[in-house]
Amino acid sequence: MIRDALLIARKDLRIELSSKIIFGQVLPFSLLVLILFGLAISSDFVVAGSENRTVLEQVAPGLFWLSIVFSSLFAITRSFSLEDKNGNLDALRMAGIDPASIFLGKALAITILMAFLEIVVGALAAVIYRSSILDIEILAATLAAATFCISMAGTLYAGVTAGSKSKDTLLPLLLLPTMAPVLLIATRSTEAALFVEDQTGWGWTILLTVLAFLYTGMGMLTFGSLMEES
Amino acid sequence: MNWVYTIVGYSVTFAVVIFYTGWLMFRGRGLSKKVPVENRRYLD
Amino acid sequence: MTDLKSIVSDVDNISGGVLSVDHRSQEFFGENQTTGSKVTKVIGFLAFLALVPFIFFALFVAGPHTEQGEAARLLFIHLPAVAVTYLSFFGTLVSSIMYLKNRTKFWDLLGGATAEVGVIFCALLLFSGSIWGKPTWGTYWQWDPRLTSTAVLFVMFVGYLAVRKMDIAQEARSRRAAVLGIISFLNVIIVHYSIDWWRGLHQGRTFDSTEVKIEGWYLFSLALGMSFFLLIGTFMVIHKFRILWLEHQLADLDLQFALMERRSEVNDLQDSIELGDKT
Repeated sequence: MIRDALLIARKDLRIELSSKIIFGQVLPFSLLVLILFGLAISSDFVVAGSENRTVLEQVAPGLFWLSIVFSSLFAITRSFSLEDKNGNLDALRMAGIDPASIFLGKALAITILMAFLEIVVGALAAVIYRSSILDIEILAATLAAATFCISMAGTLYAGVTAGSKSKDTLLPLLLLPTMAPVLLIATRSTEAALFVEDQTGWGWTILLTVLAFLYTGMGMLTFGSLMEES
Repeated sequence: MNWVYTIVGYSVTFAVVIFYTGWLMFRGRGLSKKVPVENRRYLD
Repeated sequence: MTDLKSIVSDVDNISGGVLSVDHRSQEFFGENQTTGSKVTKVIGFLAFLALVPFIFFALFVAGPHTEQGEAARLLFIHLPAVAVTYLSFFGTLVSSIMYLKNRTKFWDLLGGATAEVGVIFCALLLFSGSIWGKPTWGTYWQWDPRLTSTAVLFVMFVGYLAVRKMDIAQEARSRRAAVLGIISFLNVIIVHYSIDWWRGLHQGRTFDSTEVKIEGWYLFSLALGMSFFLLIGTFMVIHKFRILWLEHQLADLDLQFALMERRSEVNDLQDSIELGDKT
Protein backbone atom coordinates (compact mmCIF):
# COMPACT_ATOMS: atom_id res chain seq x y z
CA MET A 1 0.00 0.00 0.00
CA ILE A 2 2.82 2.41 0.79
CA ARG A 3 4.35 1.60 -2.54
CA ASP A 4 1.14 2.51 -4.35
CA ALA A 5 0.89 5.72 -2.36
CA LEU A 6 4.46 6.65 -3.25
CA LEU A 7 3.70 5.89 -6.89
CA ILE A 8 0.79 8.28 -6.89
CA ALA A 9 2.74 10.91 -4.99
CA ARG A 10 5.57 10.66 -7.47
CA LYS A 11 3.13 11.06 -10.35
CA ASP A 12 1.67 14.22 -8.84
CA LEU A 13 5.11 15.65 -8.08
CA ARG A 14 6.28 14.97 -11.61
CA ILE A 15 3.26 16.79 -12.98
CA GLU A 16 4.05 19.71 -10.74
CA LEU A 17 7.65 19.67 -11.92
CA SER A 18 6.57 20.17 -15.49
CA SER A 19 3.56 22.42 -14.99
CA LYS A 20 4.99 24.52 -12.16
CA ILE A 21 1.60 25.66 -10.95
CA ILE A 22 2.42 25.52 -7.24
CA PHE A 23 5.75 27.27 -7.58
CA GLY A 24 4.77 29.60 -10.37
CA GLN A 25 1.34 30.69 -9.18
CA VAL A 26 0.55 29.60 -5.64
CA LEU A 27 3.89 30.66 -4.21
CA PRO A 28 3.58 34.24 -5.49
CA PHE A 29 0.09 34.27 -4.04
CA SER A 30 1.38 33.28 -0.61
CA LEU A 31 4.05 35.96 -0.73
CA LEU A 32 1.50 38.51 -1.86
CA VAL A 33 -0.72 37.65 1.09
CA LEU A 34 2.17 38.32 3.46
CA ILE A 35 2.70 41.70 1.90
CA LEU A 36 -0.98 42.57 1.97
CA PHE A 37 -1.08 41.71 5.66
CA GLY A 38 1.78 44.13 6.16
CA LEU A 39 -0.23 46.85 4.46
CA ALA A 40 -3.46 46.04 6.25
CA ILE A 41 -1.95 45.92 9.71
CA SER A 42 -0.41 49.04 11.05
CA SER A 43 3.05 48.48 12.45
CA ASP A 44 3.31 51.76 14.26
CA PHE A 45 2.29 50.44 17.64
CA VAL A 46 4.66 48.62 19.91
CA VAL A 47 3.21 45.77 21.90
CA ALA A 48 3.69 46.27 25.60
CA GLY A 49 5.76 43.69 27.41
CA SER A 50 7.14 42.10 24.27
CA GLU A 51 10.65 43.43 23.90
CA ASN A 52 9.65 46.27 21.60
CA ARG A 53 7.95 44.25 18.95
CA THR A 54 5.43 46.08 16.80
CA VAL A 55 1.95 44.70 16.33
CA LEU A 56 2.88 43.28 12.94
CA GLU A 57 5.93 41.52 14.31
CA GLN A 58 3.96 40.14 17.22
CA VAL A 59 1.27 38.58 15.03
CA ALA A 60 3.73 37.41 12.36
CA PRO A 61 3.36 33.70 13.22
CA GLY A 62 -0.40 33.93 12.80
CA LEU A 63 -0.08 35.79 9.52
CA PHE A 64 2.36 33.21 8.20
CA TRP A 65 0.00 30.34 8.99
CA LEU A 66 -2.99 32.20 7.54
CA SER A 67 -1.10 32.65 4.30
CA ILE A 68 -0.18 28.98 4.25
CA VAL A 69 -3.71 27.79 5.02
CA PHE A 70 -5.21 29.93 2.26
CA SER A 71 -2.55 28.82 -0.21
CA SER A 72 -3.19 25.20 0.67
CA LEU A 73 -6.72 25.59 -0.69
CA PHE A 74 -5.21 26.18 -4.11
CA ALA A 75 -2.73 23.36 -3.77
CA ILE A 76 -5.43 20.88 -2.78
CA THR A 77 -7.84 22.00 -5.49
CA ARG A 78 -5.05 21.72 -8.03
CA SER A 79 -4.15 18.23 -6.87
CA PHE A 80 -7.66 16.97 -7.49
CA SER A 81 -8.22 18.87 -10.70
CA LEU A 82 -5.39 16.75 -12.09
CA GLU A 83 -7.76 13.79 -11.79
CA ASP A 84 -10.72 15.48 -13.44
CA LYS A 85 -9.91 14.54 -17.00
CA ASN A 86 -10.71 11.07 -18.29
CA GLY A 87 -12.02 9.87 -14.96
CA ASN A 88 -8.59 9.32 -13.50
CA LEU A 89 -9.80 8.51 -10.03
CA ASP A 90 -12.02 5.73 -11.33
CA ALA A 91 -9.16 4.46 -13.44
CA LEU A 92 -6.91 4.32 -10.39
CA ARG A 93 -9.57 2.41 -8.50
CA MET A 94 -10.05 -0.06 -11.31
CA ALA A 95 -6.32 -0.63 -11.47
CA GLY A 96 -6.81 -2.20 -8.08
CA ILE A 97 -5.26 0.53 -6.02
CA ASP A 98 -6.61 0.77 -2.49
CA PRO A 99 -8.50 4.04 -1.90
CA ALA A 100 -6.45 4.56 1.23
CA SER A 101 -3.31 4.49 -0.94
CA ILE A 102 -4.79 7.04 -3.30
CA PHE A 103 -5.58 9.20 -0.30
CA LEU A 104 -2.09 8.85 1.14
CA GLY A 105 -0.39 9.39 -2.19
CA LYS A 106 -2.19 12.58 -3.05
CA ALA A 107 -1.86 13.91 0.49
CA LEU A 108 1.83 13.13 0.47
CA ALA A 109 2.38 15.07 -2.73
CA ILE A 110 0.49 18.03 -1.31
CA THR A 111 2.54 17.82 1.89
CA ILE A 112 5.86 17.92 0.05
CA LEU A 113 4.80 20.81 -2.14
CA MET A 114 3.42 22.73 0.84
CA ALA A 115 6.64 22.09 2.74
CA PHE A 116 8.69 23.75 0.02
CA LEU A 117 6.18 26.57 -0.06
CA GLU A 118 6.45 27.06 3.69
CA ILE A 119 10.20 27.29 3.62
CA VAL A 120 10.19 30.04 1.04
CA VAL A 121 7.24 31.89 2.54
CA GLY A 122 8.70 31.48 6.02
CA ALA A 123 11.99 32.95 4.94
CA LEU A 124 10.27 35.98 3.46
CA ALA A 125 8.06 36.32 6.53
CA ALA A 126 11.09 36.29 8.79
CA VAL A 127 12.57 39.10 6.75
CA ILE A 128 9.60 41.41 6.36
CA TYR A 129 8.24 40.76 9.82
CA ARG A 130 11.70 40.96 11.33
CA SER A 131 11.46 37.68 13.21
CA SER A 132 14.39 35.92 14.75
CA ILE A 133 14.16 32.21 15.37
CA LEU A 134 14.97 31.23 18.93
CA ASP A 135 14.22 27.54 18.67
CA ILE A 136 14.63 26.07 15.21
CA GLU A 137 13.72 22.55 16.32
CA ILE A 138 10.27 23.48 17.54
CA LEU A 139 9.77 25.47 14.36
CA ALA A 140 10.76 22.56 12.15
CA ALA A 141 8.57 20.13 14.07
CA THR A 142 5.65 22.54 13.90
CA LEU A 143 6.03 23.01 10.16
CA ALA A 144 6.15 19.27 9.59
CA ALA A 145 3.19 18.38 11.81
CA ALA A 146 0.96 21.24 10.70
CA THR A 147 1.64 20.56 7.03
CA PHE A 148 0.54 16.96 7.45
CA CYS A 149 -2.60 18.16 9.26
CA ILE A 150 -3.51 20.53 6.46
CA SER A 151 -2.80 18.10 3.63
CA MET A 152 -4.51 15.09 5.22
CA ALA A 153 -7.67 16.98 6.17
CA GLY A 154 -7.61 18.85 2.88
CA THR A 155 -7.36 15.67 0.80
CA LEU A 156 -10.20 14.17 2.80
CA TYR A 157 -12.50 17.10 2.13
CA ALA A 158 -11.43 17.25 -1.49
CA GLY A 159 -12.65 13.66 -1.68
CA VAL A 160 -15.98 14.71 -0.19
CA THR A 161 -16.49 17.46 -2.75
CA ALA A 162 -14.93 15.79 -5.79
CA GLY A 163 -17.05 15.65 -8.92
CA SER A 164 -19.31 18.52 -7.97
CA LYS A 165 -19.43 21.78 -9.85
CA SER A 166 -19.31 23.74 -6.62
CA LYS A 167 -16.26 21.95 -5.24
CA ASP A 168 -14.10 25.08 -5.43
CA THR A 169 -16.32 26.96 -3.02
CA LEU A 170 -17.26 23.96 -0.91
CA LEU A 171 -13.70 22.93 -0.10
CA PRO A 172 -12.81 26.11 1.84
CA LEU A 173 -16.14 26.01 3.66
CA LEU A 174 -15.41 22.47 4.85
CA LEU A 175 -11.67 22.67 5.40
CA LEU A 176 -11.30 25.98 7.19
CA PRO A 177 -13.47 25.25 10.25
CA THR A 178 -11.59 21.99 10.67
CA MET A 179 -8.31 23.87 10.39
CA ALA A 180 -9.28 26.23 13.22
CA PRO A 181 -7.52 24.14 15.88
CA VAL A 182 -4.55 23.54 13.60
CA LEU A 183 -4.18 27.25 12.98
CA LEU A 184 -4.53 27.93 16.67
CA ILE A 185 -1.98 25.38 17.80
CA ALA A 186 0.51 25.95 14.99
CA THR A 187 0.50 29.68 15.69
CA ARG A 188 1.02 29.16 19.42
CA SER A 189 3.83 26.75 18.71
CA THR A 190 5.50 29.09 16.22
CA GLU A 191 5.19 31.96 18.67
CA ALA A 192 6.97 29.82 21.20
CA ALA A 193 9.70 29.07 18.69
CA LEU A 194 10.19 32.74 17.83
CA PHE A 195 9.59 34.62 21.03
CA VAL A 196 10.08 32.38 24.02
CA GLU A 197 13.27 30.92 25.40
CA ASP A 198 11.82 27.94 27.24
CA GLN A 199 10.43 24.62 26.02
CA THR A 200 6.67 25.30 26.20
CA GLY A 201 6.42 25.04 22.45
CA TRP A 202 6.84 21.27 22.55
CA GLY A 203 3.45 20.76 24.16
CA TRP A 204 1.80 22.38 21.19
CA THR A 205 3.92 20.48 18.73
CA ILE A 206 2.97 17.17 20.28
CA LEU A 207 -0.71 18.15 20.01
CA LEU A 208 -0.19 18.96 16.35
CA THR A 209 1.40 15.57 15.76
CA VAL A 210 -1.55 13.85 17.42
CA LEU A 211 -3.92 15.81 15.20
CA ALA A 212 -1.92 14.85 12.12
CA PHE A 213 -2.33 11.17 12.96
CA LEU A 214 -6.06 11.71 13.63
CA TYR A 215 -6.67 13.34 10.27
CA THR A 216 -4.61 10.72 8.48
CA GLY A 217 -6.64 7.99 10.12
CA MET A 218 -9.93 9.67 9.26
CA GLY A 219 -8.87 10.01 5.66
CA MET A 220 -7.61 6.48 5.21
CA LEU A 221 -10.71 4.96 6.77
CA THR A 222 -13.27 6.99 4.85
CA PHE A 223 -11.73 7.54 1.44
CA GLY A 224 -13.07 4.21 0.25
CA SER A 225 -16.67 5.21 1.01
CA LEU A 226 -16.13 8.60 -0.53
CA MET A 227 -14.82 7.21 -3.80
CA GLU A 228 -17.52 4.59 -4.31
CA GLU A 229 -19.62 5.10 -7.41
CA SER A 230 -18.62 8.70 -7.66
CA MET B 1 -32.49 49.56 30.16
CA ASN B 2 -31.53 45.95 30.02
CA TRP B 3 -35.05 44.97 29.10
CA VAL B 4 -34.32 46.19 25.56
CA TYR B 5 -31.94 43.29 25.12
CA THR B 6 -34.55 40.89 26.42
CA ILE B 7 -37.19 42.23 24.06
CA VAL B 8 -34.90 42.09 21.03
CA GLY B 9 -33.70 38.61 21.94
CA TYR B 10 -37.16 37.20 22.48
CA SER B 11 -38.72 38.82 19.42
CA VAL B 12 -36.00 37.74 17.01
CA THR B 13 -35.98 34.19 18.40
CA PHE B 14 -39.72 33.76 18.21
CA ALA B 15 -39.87 35.43 14.82
CA VAL B 16 -37.37 32.88 13.49
CA VAL B 17 -39.11 29.92 15.14
CA ILE B 18 -42.58 30.90 13.98
CA PHE B 19 -41.46 31.88 10.50
CA TYR B 20 -39.55 28.65 9.97
CA THR B 21 -42.36 26.50 11.33
CA GLY B 22 -44.83 28.29 9.10
CA TRP B 23 -42.58 27.91 6.08
CA LEU B 24 -42.19 24.18 6.73
CA MET B 25 -45.94 23.67 6.96
CA PHE B 26 -46.55 25.77 3.87
CA ARG B 27 -43.97 23.91 1.82
CA GLY B 28 -45.31 20.62 3.10
CA ARG B 29 -48.73 21.55 1.86
CA GLY B 30 -47.37 22.56 -1.54
CA LEU B 31 -45.38 19.37 -1.98
CA SER B 32 -48.24 17.14 -0.80
CA LYS B 33 -50.39 18.57 -3.55
CA LYS B 34 -47.79 17.75 -6.18
CA VAL B 35 -47.03 14.18 -5.23
CA PRO B 36 -49.70 11.58 -6.09
CA VAL B 37 -51.23 9.96 -3.06
CA GLU B 38 -49.87 6.49 -3.82
CA ASN B 39 -46.33 7.78 -3.57
CA ARG B 40 -46.81 9.56 -0.32
CA ARG B 41 -46.33 6.77 2.12
CA TYR B 42 -43.49 7.65 4.46
CA LEU B 43 -41.23 5.37 6.41
CA ASP B 44 -40.39 2.46 4.15
CA MET C 1 -47.76 19.96 -12.23
CA THR C 2 -51.35 18.73 -12.13
CA ASP C 3 -50.77 17.43 -15.64
CA LEU C 4 -47.93 15.36 -14.33
CA LYS C 5 -50.12 13.93 -11.63
CA SER C 6 -52.90 12.87 -13.99
CA ILE C 7 -50.51 11.57 -16.62
CA VAL C 8 -48.65 9.56 -14.04
CA SER C 9 -51.79 8.00 -12.65
CA ASP C 10 -53.16 7.30 -16.15
CA VAL C 11 -50.00 5.59 -17.30
CA ASP C 12 -49.73 3.90 -13.96
CA ASN C 13 -53.21 2.43 -14.31
CA ILE C 14 -52.62 1.30 -17.89
CA SER C 15 -49.23 -0.19 -17.25
CA GLY C 16 -50.30 -2.01 -14.14
CA GLY C 17 -48.72 0.13 -11.50
CA VAL C 18 -45.26 0.27 -13.00
CA LEU C 19 -44.74 3.84 -11.92
CA SER C 20 -45.63 3.53 -8.26
CA VAL C 21 -42.54 3.93 -6.21
CA ASP C 22 -43.76 1.42 -3.72
CA HIS C 23 -46.50 -0.85 -4.98
CA ARG C 24 -47.36 -2.11 -1.54
CA SER C 25 -47.97 1.40 -0.30
CA GLN C 26 -51.21 2.25 1.34
CA GLU C 27 -52.61 5.68 1.66
CA PHE C 28 -50.84 6.48 4.87
CA PHE C 29 -52.37 9.88 5.10
CA GLY C 30 -55.40 9.39 2.92
CA GLU C 31 -56.21 12.44 0.90
CA ASN C 32 -54.25 14.55 3.38
CA GLN C 33 -52.89 17.54 1.56
CA THR C 34 -50.24 18.50 4.09
CA THR C 35 -47.24 16.98 5.81
CA GLY C 36 -49.13 17.12 9.05
CA SER C 37 -50.52 14.11 10.87
CA LYS C 38 -52.09 13.25 14.18
CA VAL C 39 -48.66 13.07 15.77
CA THR C 40 -47.57 16.48 14.62
CA LYS C 41 -50.90 18.01 15.49
CA VAL C 42 -50.56 16.71 19.04
CA ILE C 43 -46.99 17.95 19.31
CA GLY C 44 -47.90 21.31 17.84
CA PHE C 45 -50.78 21.68 20.25
CA LEU C 46 -48.61 20.80 23.23
CA ALA C 47 -45.99 23.27 22.05
CA PHE C 48 -48.59 25.98 21.92
CA LEU C 49 -49.79 24.96 25.37
CA ALA C 50 -46.27 25.41 26.66
CA LEU C 51 -45.70 28.66 24.82
CA VAL C 52 -48.45 30.76 26.36
CA PRO C 53 -47.57 30.21 30.02
CA PHE C 54 -43.90 30.38 29.07
CA ILE C 55 -44.22 33.93 27.79
CA PHE C 56 -46.30 34.85 30.80
CA PHE C 57 -43.95 33.40 33.39
CA ALA C 58 -40.68 34.23 31.68
CA LEU C 59 -41.47 37.84 31.01
CA PHE C 60 -43.80 38.79 33.81
CA VAL C 61 -44.07 36.51 36.78
CA ALA C 62 -40.38 35.84 37.27
CA GLY C 63 -39.04 39.11 38.60
CA PRO C 64 -35.69 40.52 37.54
CA HIS C 65 -32.84 38.28 38.59
CA THR C 66 -31.09 39.33 41.76
CA GLU C 67 -27.63 39.34 40.21
CA GLN C 68 -28.14 39.87 36.54
CA GLY C 69 -31.27 41.91 36.19
CA GLU C 70 -33.61 41.71 33.29
CA ALA C 71 -31.29 40.15 30.76
CA ALA C 72 -31.11 36.85 32.63
CA ARG C 73 -34.50 36.06 31.10
CA LEU C 74 -32.66 35.47 27.87
CA LEU C 75 -31.30 32.32 29.43
CA PHE C 76 -34.81 30.87 29.20
CA ILE C 77 -34.28 30.93 25.44
CA HIS C 78 -30.54 30.38 25.32
CA LEU C 79 -30.34 27.20 27.39
CA PRO C 80 -33.22 25.46 25.59
CA ALA C 81 -31.64 26.45 22.27
CA VAL C 82 -28.42 24.77 23.43
CA ALA C 83 -30.36 21.62 24.30
CA VAL C 84 -32.17 21.45 20.97
CA THR C 85 -28.96 22.15 19.04
CA TYR C 86 -26.98 19.40 20.75
CA LEU C 87 -29.83 16.91 20.48
CA SER C 88 -30.34 17.69 16.80
CA PHE C 89 -26.68 17.35 15.89
CA PHE C 90 -26.45 14.17 17.93
CA GLY C 91 -29.38 12.98 15.86
CA THR C 92 -27.43 13.83 12.73
CA LEU C 93 -24.51 11.78 14.01
CA VAL C 94 -26.68 8.77 14.76
CA SER C 95 -28.47 9.09 11.41
CA SER C 96 -25.16 9.27 9.57
CA ILE C 97 -23.85 6.16 11.28
CA MET C 98 -27.08 4.27 10.70
CA TYR C 99 -27.20 5.35 7.06
CA LEU C 100 -23.72 3.99 6.43
CA LYS C 101 -24.82 0.72 7.99
CA ASN C 102 -28.25 0.32 6.40
CA ARG C 103 -28.28 2.67 3.39
CA THR C 104 -31.97 3.41 3.78
CA LYS C 105 -33.69 6.60 2.72
CA PHE C 106 -35.06 7.00 6.24
CA TRP C 107 -31.68 7.55 7.89
CA ASP C 108 -30.41 9.69 5.05
CA LEU C 109 -33.33 12.12 5.23
CA LEU C 110 -33.43 12.08 9.02
CA GLY C 111 -29.83 13.26 8.97
CA GLY C 112 -30.79 16.10 6.67
CA ALA C 113 -33.77 17.13 8.77
CA THR C 114 -31.92 17.08 12.09
CA ALA C 115 -28.98 18.97 10.60
CA GLU C 116 -31.14 21.77 9.28
CA VAL C 117 -33.04 22.17 12.55
CA GLY C 118 -29.74 21.99 14.41
CA VAL C 119 -28.21 24.76 12.31
CA ILE C 120 -31.20 27.01 12.93
CA PHE C 121 -31.13 26.48 16.67
CA CYS C 122 -27.36 26.86 16.70
CA ALA C 123 -27.79 30.28 15.12
CA LEU C 124 -30.42 31.10 17.75
CA LEU C 125 -28.10 29.83 20.45
CA LEU C 126 -25.27 32.08 19.30
CA PHE C 127 -27.59 35.03 18.88
CA SER C 128 -29.31 34.69 22.25
CA GLY C 129 -26.02 34.04 24.00
CA SER C 130 -24.49 37.09 22.40
CA ILE C 131 -27.43 39.32 23.31
CA TRP C 132 -27.30 37.96 26.85
CA GLY C 133 -23.59 38.66 27.03
CA LYS C 134 -23.84 42.36 26.31
CA PRO C 135 -25.73 43.51 29.39
CA THR C 136 -24.25 40.77 31.57
CA TRP C 137 -20.58 40.91 30.71
CA GLY C 138 -20.47 44.12 28.68
CA THR C 139 -19.58 42.52 25.39
CA TYR C 140 -21.34 40.73 22.54
CA TRP C 141 -18.50 38.29 22.06
CA GLN C 142 -15.77 36.52 24.00
CA TRP C 143 -13.06 34.26 22.67
CA ASP C 144 -13.76 31.62 25.27
CA PRO C 145 -13.71 27.90 24.41
CA ARG C 146 -17.40 27.24 24.43
CA LEU C 147 -18.48 30.23 22.39
CA THR C 148 -15.74 29.91 19.78
CA SER C 149 -16.17 26.19 19.31
CA THR C 150 -19.94 26.70 18.98
CA ALA C 151 -19.32 29.19 16.20
CA VAL C 152 -17.12 26.64 14.46
CA LEU C 153 -19.80 23.98 15.02
CA PHE C 154 -22.30 26.24 13.26
CA VAL C 155 -20.14 26.75 10.21
CA MET C 156 -19.26 23.06 10.00
CA PHE C 157 -22.88 22.01 9.78
CA VAL C 158 -23.69 24.79 7.35
CA GLY C 159 -21.04 23.06 5.25
CA TYR C 160 -22.78 19.73 5.85
CA LEU C 161 -26.04 21.18 4.53
CA ALA C 162 -24.20 22.52 1.48
CA VAL C 163 -22.76 19.05 0.78
CA ARG C 164 -26.27 17.59 0.97
CA LYS C 165 -27.14 19.82 -2.00
CA MET C 166 -24.10 18.99 -4.16
CA ASP C 167 -24.80 18.26 -7.78
CA ILE C 168 -23.66 14.66 -7.91
CA ALA C 169 -25.58 11.39 -8.02
CA GLN C 170 -28.00 11.03 -5.13
CA GLU C 171 -26.49 7.88 -3.67
CA ALA C 172 -22.97 9.26 -3.68
CA ARG C 173 -24.25 12.50 -2.21
CA SER C 174 -26.02 10.77 0.66
CA ARG C 175 -23.01 8.63 1.41
CA ARG C 176 -20.57 11.53 1.44
CA ALA C 177 -22.92 13.56 3.59
CA ALA C 178 -23.09 10.69 6.08
CA VAL C 179 -19.30 10.44 6.19
CA LEU C 180 -19.11 14.18 6.65
CA GLY C 181 -21.68 14.04 9.44
CA ILE C 182 -19.49 11.69 11.42
CA ILE C 183 -16.26 13.55 10.69
CA SER C 184 -17.78 16.91 11.59
CA PHE C 185 -18.79 15.56 14.97
CA LEU C 186 -15.26 14.35 15.62
CA ASN C 187 -13.79 17.62 14.47
CA VAL C 188 -16.06 19.66 16.70
CA ILE C 189 -14.75 17.70 19.67
CA ILE C 190 -11.19 18.38 18.52
CA VAL C 191 -11.93 22.08 18.10
CA HIS C 192 -13.52 22.33 21.52
CA TYR C 193 -10.65 20.69 23.35
CA SER C 194 -7.97 22.62 21.46
CA ILE C 195 -9.53 25.96 22.31
CA ASP C 196 -10.16 24.81 25.85
CA TRP C 197 -6.51 23.87 26.27
CA TRP C 198 -5.43 27.17 24.80
CA ARG C 199 -7.66 29.28 26.98
CA GLY C 200 -6.94 27.18 30.00
CA LEU C 201 -3.31 28.09 29.81
CA HIS C 202 -4.02 31.78 29.69
CA GLN C 203 -7.06 32.43 31.78
CA GLY C 204 -9.83 30.52 33.44
CA ARG C 205 -13.33 30.27 32.07
CA THR C 206 -14.54 33.82 31.74
CA PHE C 207 -18.00 32.99 30.61
CA ASP C 208 -20.35 30.43 31.95
CA SER C 209 -24.05 30.90 31.49
CA THR C 210 -24.74 28.02 33.84
CA GLU C 211 -23.27 29.89 36.77
CA VAL C 212 -26.52 31.75 37.14
CA LYS C 213 -28.46 30.59 40.14
CA ILE C 214 -31.75 29.26 38.90
CA GLU C 215 -34.49 28.45 41.35
CA GLY C 216 -38.13 29.11 42.13
CA TRP C 217 -40.07 30.85 39.38
CA TYR C 218 -36.92 30.98 37.31
CA LEU C 219 -36.66 27.22 37.33
CA PHE C 220 -40.29 26.90 36.37
CA SER C 221 -39.94 29.35 33.50
CA LEU C 222 -36.86 27.53 32.31
CA ALA C 223 -38.75 24.23 32.41
CA LEU C 224 -41.55 25.74 30.35
CA GLY C 225 -39.02 27.11 27.90
CA MET C 226 -37.34 23.74 27.60
CA SER C 227 -40.67 22.05 26.98
CA PHE C 228 -41.65 24.50 24.30
CA PHE C 229 -38.36 24.38 22.44
CA LEU C 230 -38.02 20.62 22.59
CA LEU C 231 -41.58 20.19 21.34
CA ILE C 232 -41.26 22.72 18.55
CA GLY C 233 -37.89 21.26 17.60
CA THR C 234 -39.40 17.79 17.25
CA PHE C 235 -42.27 19.27 15.26
CA MET C 236 -39.79 20.90 12.90
CA VAL C 237 -37.72 17.74 12.42
CA ILE C 238 -40.79 15.66 11.59
CA HIS C 239 -42.11 18.18 9.09
CA LYS C 240 -38.70 18.73 7.51
CA PHE C 241 -38.20 14.98 7.24
CA ARG C 242 -41.49 14.61 5.42
CA ILE C 243 -40.70 17.52 3.13
CA LEU C 244 -37.39 15.90 2.21
CA TRP C 245 -39.24 12.62 1.61
CA LEU C 246 -41.75 14.29 -0.72
CA GLU C 247 -39.00 16.11 -2.58
CA HIS C 248 -37.28 12.78 -3.04
CA GLN C 249 -40.48 11.22 -4.43
CA LEU C 250 -40.96 14.16 -6.72
CA ALA C 251 -37.44 13.85 -8.07
CA ASP C 252 -38.06 10.16 -8.70
CA LEU C 253 -41.31 10.90 -10.50
CA ASP C 254 -39.67 13.60 -12.57
CA LEU C 255 -36.98 11.16 -13.54
CA GLN C 256 -39.46 8.47 -14.49
CA PHE C 257 -41.52 10.96 -16.45
CA ALA C 258 -38.43 12.14 -18.32
CA LEU C 259 -37.51 8.54 -19.09
CA MET C 260 -41.06 7.94 -20.34
CA GLU C 261 -40.80 10.94 -22.61
CA ARG C 262 -37.45 9.82 -23.90
CA ARG C 263 -38.76 6.34 -24.63
CA SER C 264 -41.81 7.64 -26.44
CA GLU C 265 -39.56 9.86 -28.54
CA VAL C 266 -37.46 6.88 -29.54
CA ASN C 267 -40.58 4.87 -30.32
CA ASP C 268 -41.90 7.65 -32.55
CA LEU C 269 -38.59 7.78 -34.34
CA GLN C 270 -38.55 4.05 -34.86
CA ASP C 271 -42.11 4.12 -36.14
CA SER C 272 -41.34 6.82 -38.64
CA ILE C 273 -38.29 4.93 -39.88
CA GLU C 274 -40.31 1.76 -40.30
CA LEU C 275 -43.01 3.57 -42.18
CA GLY C 276 -40.32 4.73 -44.54
CA ASP C 277 -40.61 8.44 -43.92
CA LYS C 278 -38.46 10.35 -46.27
CA THR C 279 -38.04 13.15 -43.72
